[in-house]
Amino acid sequence: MSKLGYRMILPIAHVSLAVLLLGLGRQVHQPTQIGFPYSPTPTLVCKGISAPAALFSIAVGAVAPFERLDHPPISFSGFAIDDVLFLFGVVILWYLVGLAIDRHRAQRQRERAHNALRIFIDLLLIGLAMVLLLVSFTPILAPKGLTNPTGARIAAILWLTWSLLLFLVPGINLTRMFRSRDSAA
Amino acid sequence: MFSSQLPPIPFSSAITNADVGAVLTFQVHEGESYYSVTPPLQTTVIQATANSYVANISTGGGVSLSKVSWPAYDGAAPVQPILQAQDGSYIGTALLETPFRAGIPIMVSFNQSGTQKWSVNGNYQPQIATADGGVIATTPAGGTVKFEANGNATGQLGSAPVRSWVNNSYSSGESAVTSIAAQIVKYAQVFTAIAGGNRSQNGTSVQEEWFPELPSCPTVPPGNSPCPREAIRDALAKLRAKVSTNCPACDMFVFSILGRDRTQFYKYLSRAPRLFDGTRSNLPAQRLCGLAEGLQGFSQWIDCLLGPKSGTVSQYMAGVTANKASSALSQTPSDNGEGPMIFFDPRIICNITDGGAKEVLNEAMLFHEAIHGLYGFQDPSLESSFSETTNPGITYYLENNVFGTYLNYLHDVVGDAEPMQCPN
Repeated sequence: MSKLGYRMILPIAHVSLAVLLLGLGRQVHQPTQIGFPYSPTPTLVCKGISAPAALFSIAVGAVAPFERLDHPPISFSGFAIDDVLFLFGVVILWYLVGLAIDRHRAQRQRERAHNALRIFIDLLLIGLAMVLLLVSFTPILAPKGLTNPTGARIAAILWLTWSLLLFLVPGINLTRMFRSRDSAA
Repeated sequence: MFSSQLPPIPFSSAITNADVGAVLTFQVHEGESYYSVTPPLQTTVIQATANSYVANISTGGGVSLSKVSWPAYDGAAPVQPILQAQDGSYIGTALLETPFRAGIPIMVSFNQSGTQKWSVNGNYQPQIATADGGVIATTPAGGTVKFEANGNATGQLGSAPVRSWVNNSYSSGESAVTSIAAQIVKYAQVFTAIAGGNRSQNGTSVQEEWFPELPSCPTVPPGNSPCPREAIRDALAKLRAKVSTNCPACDMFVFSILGRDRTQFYKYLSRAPRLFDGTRSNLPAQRLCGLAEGLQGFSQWIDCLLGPKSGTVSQYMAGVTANKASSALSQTPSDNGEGPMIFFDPRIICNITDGGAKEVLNEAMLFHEAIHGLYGFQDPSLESSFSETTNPGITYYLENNVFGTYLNYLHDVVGDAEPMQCPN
């Protein structure tokens, strides 16, 4: 573990898991009573485990919908372009998580600069946490719009977990930073 | 040693070849070169003929060239492909060169190997490739002529309307843009069925059609059945009339259960209808996730997009991506400020406007689909709210309780491979 580091292990593990879960989701048949494209539980769980990556793929798809304009939906080995974007997001996400863990284990977090960029990143993460929190409430706010309420609730718990983590970690960092500034002053 | 400038090689603009590459044409002046060595002139005289080529470029970057035996076109420009026809051939324009007169404009059809299918003399500008293999072209005088698959003119259409993305037709006025009755055109299901690539004519090729019209016959002789487009619009008008006035059954069996009131539903239903033939739609299925207003709408939109929405509406309705054929499909919920967007298998629409049980079935189905659009609710939760378990539960529930009729669709049994159909 120490040679490779979490920043290498986590992306590989999570991409493998995501491919497995997305593949399982594709095997699920749509229930006959639902007249709308269905969201299978493995897919929702997959996008809950890597919730920020799911948000990333939706955001990129919304901002740059070139694939939808120029071509019919395309696929790579059975994966739609959104899934490919999602998997790319999974790599980035878990690399960053692994990097944070590696740095923490190396006790380098004390070396971090208390600068404006750090504050900006922490605030950005808190903003992301708010979006994740909002979406995690969908099974409560609009359960009748879900094709798979059970799967959505499981995913919602995962999104909520991400939301809490992304509130707490940068929140604690910012609190420490401002306390150390106050004590220095 | 003599040198001379090579003659320019004129290229056409490239046109997409479905989703597998692109095609362009160019001309090369090929022939013998003569050197005049007699003083005082030392010039190169090129005795050349213009040969045309079609270059097929694959998405992987490979290029294959076909030398073509077209008539002598003006050497200044090669044939410009403008549209791709239903059969994959191309329709373009060129200037025909003759011994007596250069630059006679023609419209020409050719396939990917460069074989000319047909040509028509005249300054026609191809505008729309149609599903029957033909083409609609405009003339400089503003006329619009329809040609069939072999290049024979089959009729005039008047002025060509500008078409919006959702198949409304518009004529531009000085002070206003007025929606006009559309002449029904079935577009070729290719990437360049419209000059300019898409309805915005910005050069981006889009596979037609995202929003195909339902089969239509606006001028039906008395005594004959209307077509699905006319029948469903008539049902919509009757449904609007029903919910615009006092409707105790609507209030009791729908709105008091789901929330909101009949006025909101009427307002929603009165917006521009977007009723399409889903069996021919290449709209990405993801577009069925509508973005309603507010945080809740945003949250539901994100949640909807989390699920796999691969394929197109037509693939979904055929059961390719869902393992189950579908007869009617709504954007759920509708985008903020928009009316219902519903895709039908035309066979589910009862081709009748007499106000009888079959038309009521159309109204009940529209009511059902509009509930999806306005509320953003899926069938299982509606069935739970209405305590309805039959198939298609909500349509039958509305038919029975709101309209008081009892007529079932054909093939409405779970597991039936055939999609549901009106007992026409």
